[in-house]
Amino acid sequence: MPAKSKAIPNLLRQSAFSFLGTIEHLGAATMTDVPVDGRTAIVVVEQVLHAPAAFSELANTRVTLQLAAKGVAPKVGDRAAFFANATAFGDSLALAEVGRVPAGDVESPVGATAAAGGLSPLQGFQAQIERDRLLEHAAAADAIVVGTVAKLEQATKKGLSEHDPDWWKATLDVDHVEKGNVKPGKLAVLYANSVDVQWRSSLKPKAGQGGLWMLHNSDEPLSKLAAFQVLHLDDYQPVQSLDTLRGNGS
Amino acid sequence: MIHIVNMIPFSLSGESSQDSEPNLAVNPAKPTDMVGTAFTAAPMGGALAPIYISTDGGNTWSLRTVVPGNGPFGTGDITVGFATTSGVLYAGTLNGSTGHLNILRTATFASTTAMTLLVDRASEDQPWVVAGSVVVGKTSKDRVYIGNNDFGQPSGHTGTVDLSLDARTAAAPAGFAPHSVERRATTGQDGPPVRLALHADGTVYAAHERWVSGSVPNITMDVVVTRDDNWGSGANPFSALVDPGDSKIGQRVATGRFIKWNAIMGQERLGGDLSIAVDPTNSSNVWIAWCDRVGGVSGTDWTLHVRRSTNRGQTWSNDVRTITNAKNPSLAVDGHGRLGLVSQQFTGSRWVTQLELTANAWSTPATVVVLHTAPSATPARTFLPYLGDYIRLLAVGTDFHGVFCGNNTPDNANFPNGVAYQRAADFTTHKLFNTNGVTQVAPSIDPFYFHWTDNPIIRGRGIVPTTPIQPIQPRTIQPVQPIHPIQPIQPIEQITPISIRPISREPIISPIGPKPGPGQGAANLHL
Repeated sequence: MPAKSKAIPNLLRQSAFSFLGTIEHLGAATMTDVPVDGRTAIVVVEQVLHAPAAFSELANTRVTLQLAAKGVAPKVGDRAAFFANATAFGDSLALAEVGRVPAGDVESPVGATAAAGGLSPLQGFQAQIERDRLLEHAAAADAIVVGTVAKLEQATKKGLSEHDPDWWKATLDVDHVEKGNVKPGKLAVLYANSVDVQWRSSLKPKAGQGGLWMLHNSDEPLSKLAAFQVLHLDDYQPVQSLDTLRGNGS
Repeated sequence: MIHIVNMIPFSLSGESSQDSEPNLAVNPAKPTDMVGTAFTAAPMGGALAPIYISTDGGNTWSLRTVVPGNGPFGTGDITVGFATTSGVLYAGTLNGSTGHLNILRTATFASTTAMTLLVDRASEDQPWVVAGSVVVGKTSKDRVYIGNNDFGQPSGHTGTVDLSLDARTAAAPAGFAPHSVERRATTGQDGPPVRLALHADGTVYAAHERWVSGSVPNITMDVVVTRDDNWGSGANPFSALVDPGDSKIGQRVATGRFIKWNAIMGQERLGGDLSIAVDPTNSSNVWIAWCDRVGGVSGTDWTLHVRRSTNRGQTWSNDVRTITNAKNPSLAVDGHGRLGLVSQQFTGSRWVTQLELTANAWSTPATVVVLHTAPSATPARTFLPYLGDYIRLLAVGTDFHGVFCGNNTPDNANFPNGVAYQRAADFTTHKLFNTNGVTQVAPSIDPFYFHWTDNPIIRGRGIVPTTPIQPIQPRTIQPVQPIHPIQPIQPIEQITPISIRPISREPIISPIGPKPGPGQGAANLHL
């Protein structure tokens, strides 16, 4: 059963962690070094609804939740779907509530979650948020093309700083231009080839890699080397993402 | 007696990131308060990166996301320091979003409030924080020094110290301003590390690596020390030490040393290792350590050197200690004038982190404590640096506190002097687990805190050392003020926080000695 609260998409955008849980204590905490007041609650996590992978297995544990300052505080024994961000990580978690919805708004009938492959009842909202994020990223791109990496070469002499980006140039064989002042054919784009901590997570095209590329104007003075650069991991998408972009009017 | 703690808290048992390049601050006014750092991203994302905090002398650690500029691996380079008496914490970072140097401050290190930004500057590298306090008139002031490699400095004089003579409460930039410590020609820049040693009498030493000649990857450098005798308060700070060899400011400790920049050893990069420490009992006594390739262009080594000066940095000894294929030297001198050196040595198949203590410059055998030894090939590197471009040793009174990073496989053989884990770990099967105790987690690089004291250590997890060990009680509920309509408080006896695990209450008494067997000493399955 899909979640039905209209508030959920906004709460998801504002929170990193959501769970179905029951207030066990008020004015108490599971950690010794966090402040406690009347709106500090110990909550038993019944089901994690969305979370980074490392926190997906917190069902049947207790967390500290600082209830939002405004609004009616729940009572001991109340169940709800809580949306929160973390403030401290110790023996357990301390969370700050962003908002909550009635448990019934996210609960699936018994067995339905299992039948759906164990997926969260919020998966539909999460997918929509992911689509929105992709569209926002595409809107910020200066050009969007479909192409294949034909050549990789060093663009500049490597700098002496340990955090030097080590600029390389990928030549794309562009088959299709979805956006921007670009023509099909060869197109050079810059990327940071360094594996230093500052650049390790930036996009690193591979020889023969084909797909959808979201290009951004190169920063000065790099534009002399190539007009575009790709740095963000989302600058590369499988070609099927074109449907997502078009389906939303991009 | 040594005590070693894996700093990853239980709630992050599911993480397997490369949490490398650690740093540490111990509050001199209250040494049970500590802050650690590493390349650790905010575990749940967001704009703020975490620091590790301990309020019980390093027995337990938790994270607070308070540092502006959270990137994919947290901030870039980050170091921290407490002022001597104020309890104010200062941080120097490369912002994880912009790469800029950020100088930050907080008066409440354990709070969840973001640190205050004091300085934001582009084209920077490797900030290194040292802080102190001094009474001027009747007012106590925090004096803060941040070594950094400032590519914005003219003439390639990039070795720099940002300093503030009164940083505690003033609005940004709180008196901070950059001062180059390089007075000679360079290849266009100095090496990344600029390290500092501060004495309570106002003596401040700064060490840097002057890149003299060469081009990537073959660089020739001099190791240079500058000094200021009055907190850096004059118009031209760090000018007190003149090298008679060329009449220029900055005493050259070693010249013509070869670096193979970014050479790889045991999955780690090499090129910039430097440390300096001053004797708190006598500011004339100063020690320095650095690494270079003794074999030159055709060499394969990476050799750690230690030298000392007893005349305020004017003349220096020959090497009093060398270690082949070692990096990350960090020096500290305790209240007895005893020197501590921690470093990480590559044996060809393992990284070995060890602490050496000497009261006589290794004239007699030093006390040597192996903190960690683990295979160097695993886990596979995610990024550079693998272990870190630095680690840190501090002396508070006659105790040494330090931090290093390494392979976190829970194997007693890797910790010959014991270790305590907070994260879920089984030392019998050598496996890590998520918080549920079922899902296995891959080994990764974690930060480890260590504490050396001459006194016996009696510790229980989560218990301050001097406190009698008793069963841990759940958090006491304070009387709640009726701010809002409030629910009746439940009897505290009903609370059973999952974080309190009986196995971890067992004290670890003097872990040095016989290797603990399965289930002894070091924590086993913490669930």
